[in-house]
Amino acid sequence: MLQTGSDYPAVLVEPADEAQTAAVMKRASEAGWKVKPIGAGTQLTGEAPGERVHIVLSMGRMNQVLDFSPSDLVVTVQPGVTLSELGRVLTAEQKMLPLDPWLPAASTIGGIASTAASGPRRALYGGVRDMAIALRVVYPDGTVIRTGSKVVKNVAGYDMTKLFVGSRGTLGVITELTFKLRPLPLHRETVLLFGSAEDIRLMRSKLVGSVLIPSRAQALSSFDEPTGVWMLAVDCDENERSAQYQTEQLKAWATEQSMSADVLQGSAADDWWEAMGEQALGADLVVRLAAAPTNWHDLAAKVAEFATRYGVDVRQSWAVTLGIGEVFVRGLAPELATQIVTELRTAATRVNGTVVIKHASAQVRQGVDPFGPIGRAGVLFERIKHQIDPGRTMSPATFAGGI
Amino acid sequence: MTSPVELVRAMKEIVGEQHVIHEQNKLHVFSCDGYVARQALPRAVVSPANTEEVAAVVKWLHEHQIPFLPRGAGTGLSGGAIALNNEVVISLARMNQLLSVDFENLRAVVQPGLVNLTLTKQITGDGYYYAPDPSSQSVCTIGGNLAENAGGSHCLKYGVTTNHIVAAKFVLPDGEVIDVGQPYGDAVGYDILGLVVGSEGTLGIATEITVKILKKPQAVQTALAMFDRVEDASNTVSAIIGTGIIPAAIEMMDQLAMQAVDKSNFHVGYPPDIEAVLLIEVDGLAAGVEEDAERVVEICRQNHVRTVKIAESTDERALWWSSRKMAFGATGRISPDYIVQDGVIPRSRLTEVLQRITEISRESGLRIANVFHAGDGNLHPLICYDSRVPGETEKAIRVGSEVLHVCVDVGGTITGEHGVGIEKIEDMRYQFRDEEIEAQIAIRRAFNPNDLCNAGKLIPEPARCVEVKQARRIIEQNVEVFSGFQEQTAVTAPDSTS
Repeated sequence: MLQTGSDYPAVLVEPADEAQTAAVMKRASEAGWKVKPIGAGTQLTGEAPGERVHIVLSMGRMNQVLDFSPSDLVVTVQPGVTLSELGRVLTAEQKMLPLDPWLPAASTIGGIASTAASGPRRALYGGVRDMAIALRVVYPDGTVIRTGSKVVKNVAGYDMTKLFVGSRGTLGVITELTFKLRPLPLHRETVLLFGSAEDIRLMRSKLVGSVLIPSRAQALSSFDEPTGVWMLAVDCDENERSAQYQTEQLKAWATEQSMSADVLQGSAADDWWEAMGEQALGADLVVRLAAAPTNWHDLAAKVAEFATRYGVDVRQSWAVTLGIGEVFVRGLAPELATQIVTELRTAATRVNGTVVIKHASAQVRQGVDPFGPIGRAGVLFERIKHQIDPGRTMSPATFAGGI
Repeated sequence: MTSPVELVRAMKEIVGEQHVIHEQNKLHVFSCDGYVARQALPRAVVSPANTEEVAAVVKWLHEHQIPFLPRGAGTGLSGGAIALNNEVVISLARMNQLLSVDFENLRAVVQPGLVNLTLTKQITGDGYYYAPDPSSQSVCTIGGNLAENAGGSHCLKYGVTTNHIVAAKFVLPDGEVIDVGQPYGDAVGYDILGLVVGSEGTLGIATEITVKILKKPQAVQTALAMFDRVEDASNTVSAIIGTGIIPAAIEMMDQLAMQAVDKSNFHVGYPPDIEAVLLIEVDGLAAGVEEDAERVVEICRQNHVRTVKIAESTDERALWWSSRKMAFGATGRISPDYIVQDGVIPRSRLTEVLQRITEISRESGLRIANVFHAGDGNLHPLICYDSRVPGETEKAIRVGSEVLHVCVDVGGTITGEHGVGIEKIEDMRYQFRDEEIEAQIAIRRAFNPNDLCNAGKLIPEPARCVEVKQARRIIEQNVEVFSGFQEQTAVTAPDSTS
């Protein structure tokens, strides 16, 4: 069940609180045991295989919402809280944490922060780094550090929160997270536009050059649709009148381009997005690409061309205002998986983009680096790792650049 | 030891004769920044023209173990650009170009010396703007904004500098040039850019900065609401946000601040008997903004507003904003000297904290004007004093510190956007424990092992470090003896005193 990427047996430890976490880390550091912190374990299939781990530190028991102040738009949680549970608590007070990565419902907030996972709503609200304002982190030697501050603006000292967000458990164990929140949109409306990839390329251009305020703008190709059919889903989180205006504008453009359009409102819109996320879960390989948004169309064509060449089931989902794409592949031989990652990486690198594996079998991740080249900032990775984790206790060799 | 003559010669070789200042009388301009309580003369001011020159200057200084610091427009309010160690000041003023704009992808690449408002002015014709808008935006630079993680009035809705800078070319303190961040998506590996933004020039120098640009909102409505009681104004702020509207900005001023700004060139004519004024701005699509503005007005009325008015013209809106943005400067018209503070509190504690500030003012006998980004809970108490009165400067500094401690006590922070610099370096100890300060020093060590780049700013030394420092000095003075096991001593020294 636990895919730690290790063939060696490891001990699963489930601390009840921060003090236990610190005690485990202190012992492990002293003894030279390697430790891998995990949440629900839904994203371990995106890491480099890594070195032998002695302790898998599961944060699942630390699953409380510690403090929720709706009037301050701030919430503090333990890492083991699932995104869906947190959503329930926040919705009750008409608030939201606009993080919507396409991951299983069991995914924890600690895991999402550690991998900096993001979804379609990033188009308007940004990613984990934009929402996390404070953390508590247990260092490898058992020291507990607070980063940031539980208020929405803070520049006291280095912004250490950002260092730990996305560090994949290679620096410390996150034991508490504080996020700034947003009001739940007063009105929810999604416009679906259907056409070719070229239609959507033109539509994207109009959208970005306009005053419209898309809170999600996702181009999707489907497993179920015949090849070449795409859909662009555009959301509006503004009030009802604004949403109507946005919808009318999009529909007018659709008519100009002879695209068909469909409008979803309220819970129907929510359900639709949820279904999209669930559809993505069955894939054998998930790859994330990022490049200038104007490149999305060329990269998507590369993916489609590969799929046609080898007759594989490929679905694509592109945040077209951000230039971030996810490719979901079903029923793919490991050799082909390695090949598609390599080919896409070559194509993306040519336009200064990146390709990382989000999900693949251990065999695939042994054949190709899940993270790819790290660039010149990489000189600092080792130095920072050495300052915080000189004994290389934390998740060794599982992250970018062999960290 | 490198002689001053050698230094100047080397710098001139890199950046050209006319771009090095070393004459004492010309250096005085650079003896402080927007924080005037401390002054120090740099040994020279060097103005490179591009990344390569910055890297060459830094490399030479690193090799000769000469301290240095970067400087933008020098408008920083916490003393981050003051040459406490007689640093060589690397001025980025000449590197002031907008290098490229990509409207289709919503990015601009700028040099660090480009003035914040100039960027917006250059893209406004096409309908775009750069969102972070510190009060000093007509003079402060994007490089300085990066160093300070500058905020502004509109960050309630749009975020601060760190949410708008996506990548940078960065010269490390040994002269190596790296790329941090990623123009689109996420940088692979640790978020180095996240550490660099707000590092107050202590980790290196950004020489090319990629920022997000935004489409200007289709419509904007601005309301000015006057309240008899501060509490009602505070409740209004909470109620607006509680209703699900995130205004682009909610600014508050108290009576003393109103008196000051009304003496400036931007006279609004605030009544003398109101306690608070709110400036509330909503923006977005024209179709919906009016409704939001009506909602805001309604909420003001529910909270006993005396008068509330929507700006009828862009001129009226501009007047209200100028009045607000001039607040710091205008304080000079009601007091010979003032200190501006920058604490942040949870918004829900606003009324209570303002009461505490009033008490502190009464106890100290110093007047305190309050101007703040109410939506964020970011307070700017302006502590009025007269430096000609013996002891009053020290008292004002003490009062400033007290106010910040109140902010920390209610769960807030000592600085929301002005930075720590040298001004609040001791207050860092009030907010962070020793091991947390140690953890930040470890980050600085990773970037800046010789501590030549803006030393003595932002992060104080932990108390126990004083002893460690003594040990280090002994080690340094006996390099030959210890050099064989330097790494070992570096590791054991801190532990031996803990």
